[in-house]
Amino acid sequence: MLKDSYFRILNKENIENGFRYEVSLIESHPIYQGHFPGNPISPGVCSIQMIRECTEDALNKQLCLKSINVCRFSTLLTPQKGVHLQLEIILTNNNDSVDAKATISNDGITYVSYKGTFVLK
Amino acid sequence: MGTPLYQGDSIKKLLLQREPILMVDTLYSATEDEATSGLTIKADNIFCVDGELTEPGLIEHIAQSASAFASYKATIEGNNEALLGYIGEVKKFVITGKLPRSGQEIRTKVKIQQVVGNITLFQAQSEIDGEPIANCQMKLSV
Amino acid sequence: MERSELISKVNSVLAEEFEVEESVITPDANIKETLQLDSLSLVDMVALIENTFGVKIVGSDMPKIQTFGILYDYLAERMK
Repeated sequence: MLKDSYFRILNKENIENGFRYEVSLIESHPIYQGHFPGNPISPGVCSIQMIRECTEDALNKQLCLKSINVCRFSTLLTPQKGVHLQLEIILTNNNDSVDAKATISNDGITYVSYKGTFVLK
Repeated sequence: MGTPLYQGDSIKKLLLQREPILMVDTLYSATEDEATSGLTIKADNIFCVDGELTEPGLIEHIAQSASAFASYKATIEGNNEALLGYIGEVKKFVITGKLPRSGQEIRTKVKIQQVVGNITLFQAQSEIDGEPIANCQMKLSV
Repeated sequence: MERSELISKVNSVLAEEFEVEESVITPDANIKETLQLDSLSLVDMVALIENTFGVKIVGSDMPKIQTFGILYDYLAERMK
């Protein structure tokens, strides 16, 4: 839904128990016309969707977002030109679900920390 | 339920979000610490995939419901401008029913539990036709 | 509740939740700095204290409650 329109995956690498994605935000996405007019701020829910889409990419599976234990947006995120974000996802496979712990950060600043459960579609 | 407090274009007095991410179309009612909002899903909603509203869209609707309520309370106190609200935290979000489809209306009840500084902590429950579909706790930074 | 019991309970509940040593929680210590609270965690602290002691903390009172000592006084006053 958002991949290649709201954000681009620049790089993907395996890490212990998970993956690290390098992404960039696309400033021209129409969502910024409304969020907010004259003051573009990346919506928190789009960060949640980025985490979901990267997890889907990593597992090569379609996922449902079943629950979120906690997702904290500690710093405001804006779609600045040329800014790259690091998205780290740690995954734990259960029988019919996947627990994900993720952070979105750059340059020592954490923008999002996420802990939740996905279910296979 | 009576006449909605705000509906359609007038909801823009309570929210700064605009198309394509305006995710509340009605403020049905409000008391001191509780309010009910509504959103009828349109097929071209930016969060819709194959006619179904995805979970982030539902979370955004919940957040904007609380934001609209916060603005409403401020207008009662004489403030004329909509408040700018961001999600600070989503906690214990659970999908308990089917995701909304285009044409359906989500009704969400938000209940304020605490306000400390510019952070509002609230509980929310969303329903379609009286059936619960999701609930969560959220902190909104206003 | 006796004051010493109140202090002990506040300290242990906060130390556990915010993962600090009880020894750093002193009456003159600043709550936000000691527990490293940002605005989001501050609300968690308020909710935790409310739930533990059954006392409603008025949000607008929070700016006055800078130290643990003031918090103890605030709770003691409302638990009479």
